Amino acid sequence: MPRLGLFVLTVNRNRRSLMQEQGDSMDATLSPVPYGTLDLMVLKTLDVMGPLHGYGIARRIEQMAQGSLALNQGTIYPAILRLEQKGWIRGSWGTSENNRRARFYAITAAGRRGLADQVEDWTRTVSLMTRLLNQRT
Amino acid sequence: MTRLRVLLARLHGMATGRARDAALEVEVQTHLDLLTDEYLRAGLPAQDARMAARRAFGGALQTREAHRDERTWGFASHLACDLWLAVRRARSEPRVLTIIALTIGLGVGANAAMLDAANRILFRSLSVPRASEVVSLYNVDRQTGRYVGTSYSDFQEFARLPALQGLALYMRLPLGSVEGNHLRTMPGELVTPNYFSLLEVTALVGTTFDPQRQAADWPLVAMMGEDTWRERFAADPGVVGRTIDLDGRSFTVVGVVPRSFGLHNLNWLGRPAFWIPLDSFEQLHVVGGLSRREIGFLTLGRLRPGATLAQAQEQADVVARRLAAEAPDTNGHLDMTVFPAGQAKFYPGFRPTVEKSLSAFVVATGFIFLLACCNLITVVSHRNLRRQRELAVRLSLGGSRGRIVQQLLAEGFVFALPGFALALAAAAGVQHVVNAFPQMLGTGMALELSISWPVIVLAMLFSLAMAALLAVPALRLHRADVVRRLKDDHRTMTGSQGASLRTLAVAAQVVVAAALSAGSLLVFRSLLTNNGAEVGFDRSHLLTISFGLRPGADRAEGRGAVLAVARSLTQIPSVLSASTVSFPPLDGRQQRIMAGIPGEAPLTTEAAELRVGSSFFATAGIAILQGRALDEKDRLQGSGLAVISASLAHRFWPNAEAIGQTILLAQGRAAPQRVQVVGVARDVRYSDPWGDRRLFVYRLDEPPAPYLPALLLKTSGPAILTLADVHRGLATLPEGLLLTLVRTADTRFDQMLRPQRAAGVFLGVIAGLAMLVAGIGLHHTLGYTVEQRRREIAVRIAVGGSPVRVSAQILRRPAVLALGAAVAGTITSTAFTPLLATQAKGMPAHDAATFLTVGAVLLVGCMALAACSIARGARINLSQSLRLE
Repeated sequence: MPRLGLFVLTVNRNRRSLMQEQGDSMDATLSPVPYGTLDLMVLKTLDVMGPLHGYGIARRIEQMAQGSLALNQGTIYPAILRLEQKGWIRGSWGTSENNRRARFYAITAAGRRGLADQVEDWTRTVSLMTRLLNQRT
Repeated sequence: MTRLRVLLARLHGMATGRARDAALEVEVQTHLDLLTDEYLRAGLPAQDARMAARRAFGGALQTREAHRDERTWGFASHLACDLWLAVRRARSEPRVLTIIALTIGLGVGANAAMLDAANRILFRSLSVPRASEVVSLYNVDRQTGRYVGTSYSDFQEFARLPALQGLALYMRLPLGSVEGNHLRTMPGELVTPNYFSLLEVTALVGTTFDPQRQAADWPLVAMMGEDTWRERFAADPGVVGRTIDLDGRSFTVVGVVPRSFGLHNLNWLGRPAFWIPLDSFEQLHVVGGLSRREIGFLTLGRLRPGATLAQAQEQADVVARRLAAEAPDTNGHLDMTVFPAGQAKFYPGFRPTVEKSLSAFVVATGFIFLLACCNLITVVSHRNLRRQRELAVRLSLGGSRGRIVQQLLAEGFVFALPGFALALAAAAGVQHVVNAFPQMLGTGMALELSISWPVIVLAMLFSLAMAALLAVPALRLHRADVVRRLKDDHRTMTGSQGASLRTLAVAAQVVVAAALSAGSLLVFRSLLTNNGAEVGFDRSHLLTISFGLRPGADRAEGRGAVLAVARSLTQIPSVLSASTVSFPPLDGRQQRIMAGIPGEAPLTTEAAELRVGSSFFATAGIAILQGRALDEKDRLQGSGLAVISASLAHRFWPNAEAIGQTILLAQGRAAPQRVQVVGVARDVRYSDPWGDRRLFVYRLDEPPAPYLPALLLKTSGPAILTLADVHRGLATLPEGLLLTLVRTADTRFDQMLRPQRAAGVFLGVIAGLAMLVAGIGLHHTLGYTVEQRRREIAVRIAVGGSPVRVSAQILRRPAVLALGAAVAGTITSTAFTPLLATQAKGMPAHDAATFLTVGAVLLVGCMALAACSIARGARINLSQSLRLE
């Protein structure tokens, strides 16, 4: 395993490091988190899985991505904060699997409504893009 | 709703920043622990597992930053941080903070106050609705070029101008109210009934005058000013309907005029206490009647919607021409000028003088502002050199130029705050001086300058602009310079970074100091001249007493009462003689009269007339140069005999004897009266100490003049010592007579000079500060030049150069620049001093001695400072200099 520098300062450098670590074969398969989708991913995860802490949310997203997503797990926390500020999720302190203090997040009723709206928007966007990309000359 | 929630959450996040940071820290640590456990379970060694966890998590620092940005507003958060840092820096640099605060305070305060004063006096509209439509009409006499008021008859003609919605007439008059043995005189205003409705002024309590009010309507009504209402009636709303006695007549109060209205004419006695409608002939008669010769009324009108000032002027010209044709003797030489009312708040004839005076003060305070900016540049520039290394380190650590500028701006803002507070205090001080001595602007005005929003906004803008100067160092910062800046120590820098800017700033300071010093010196010299001025009469042994009449008292009886008082006062041992006179000396008043010699028409010489008692010349101590003084026997010939001043005699008969000659005297537009000259008196400065007008005609007050005379007493010792005896003698006065004022002529003289003294002190303080600041700036710059080139000087001296010569060579450029600036400043001051004509009475604007003195002082000062710096440079030795580095 190649030695990496200790000071990983940017996302790009970090991503490059991760790719170096996991071998060149990962380059083609890893894709960055599409802009603006992380909040939706977090919300859907909490809707499906119930209350989770930050690590749990990140692991679940990676699990669902099946190794195709280059996710810096730290970026989960600003997304969680955004959703909390909107009142779509609510956090409460609890104890993690390794017996440490962790903050568990759960989706709220407003969050479910927000999720439904976002899913509808996303579906509409995807179908539009699909139609556009599948059109023939 | 969601947005509001986010907003509140962010506000909460800003308030609970530390707690949220701690909570995130716990979450991140738990996250990393869980990740590490996972890698350990996958078989990685502990060290590698921790590394892998960190990699998977990404930059923890970035996460915290991103979290903080989401939690707050980035800009606000940075700003709060910058402000806190700036406060800490301000606390650690009290000396710099004090210098900057004083610089901004002095530079901004006086400037904001004077600009606001100029705006209020010269330009601001009246405080009435749709003030831009309000105009003021003034007659202008083509012969003399003077602006004069309007007669009631002319007013009726001009009120019909199609461009005007209406025209109202007003006239200030003192209204007497008796309080004990004293007559309290209050400013009143006689107005046409449409006055308030035309200006759309609504009463604070009650109503305004009915515009349809007729002359025969009864009872007499009055409106009261808000100040009077509050002071005398404790703001009682029940004052409406009450009766008050003014000038011996009863008036029913119909309403209270709000304080926002009342200073539309600054020239008179201040804010009116009462308004009385001009609705009866009796009142008109009091102030002169309907005759076209009585031109003491002023006007305020309102333009019709859509009408312009030019249209009103055209129509006024047509009416003026018609009136000139109809009444050539009274209106033949009168034109009518229409002014926006905001620009005619005092007699337009005074405008050039007031503009010039205000310009002088605005320029002076502007100089101070410039000086303050220069000083700030010097301070900032020196501070910048000390902070080069710090800024370079910040830049090299990844700080953006924008962030550094933002931080320096925040620093400037914090440093400027005490300056802003000081600026408001300085502005209040300047306003207090101007309110107390409005005469220093060229004419007496009722000013009520105070700290208002425009002053606050101006002061804030100027303060912020000066604060922005503190961010200048960051604008000059480039990443490319970082290494050099980190390597260089400011003591060893030989480059000219900021040097030219500093030198220019110092040069500007010297120029400004020269101009201000010349102005101040001129005013002080004028003050000294006037202070020791020979007024031509014996003022140290002269007491003056002014009287008023109880309402309803007969004026002729009042005059008799004054004579009786004079007789009783001469019984006091220290009173040598007493005489009546139409005006007391040194109170600025004059009765103007046109004079000429037989055959001269029209009369073109304007003189001042004094109606005097028979012992006037002996009492006042005015020497008779030719002929004789007036005496009691002359009363038989009434006012047909006169004594004239030497200047007047010289004007009419430069090469002939004046005694026995005849002069013509005409009051206003009345027919000239022939008067025989019996004596020529010494020229006196009777009205004011600078005595521009020395053409006097003295006549006996026979028949009695229509006004109550004042009394002059000649004392054997200094007049002030007799004051107590005179007060005792005046304790009981004859029936109908009221005491107004008892003063020594010396006190009056002193009071006349007060505005000039205030202007002198004001300019003197400014000039002193300018000199001090320029001196400090020059000293710093020369000293800094030596400090910057310490190594070079040391090396050159070490290899055999003469210490004085080496230092002089290095200081040659800034020293020559300073000397050049001193010369340029002296030349510049010749453009500034003419603006001070009003304040420097009796002195020529281009007084050579003043300029030579200022130039010499500046040159000597610059040379002395340069010599100090050269001496300092000469003391440098190589080993010491190298050790320092």
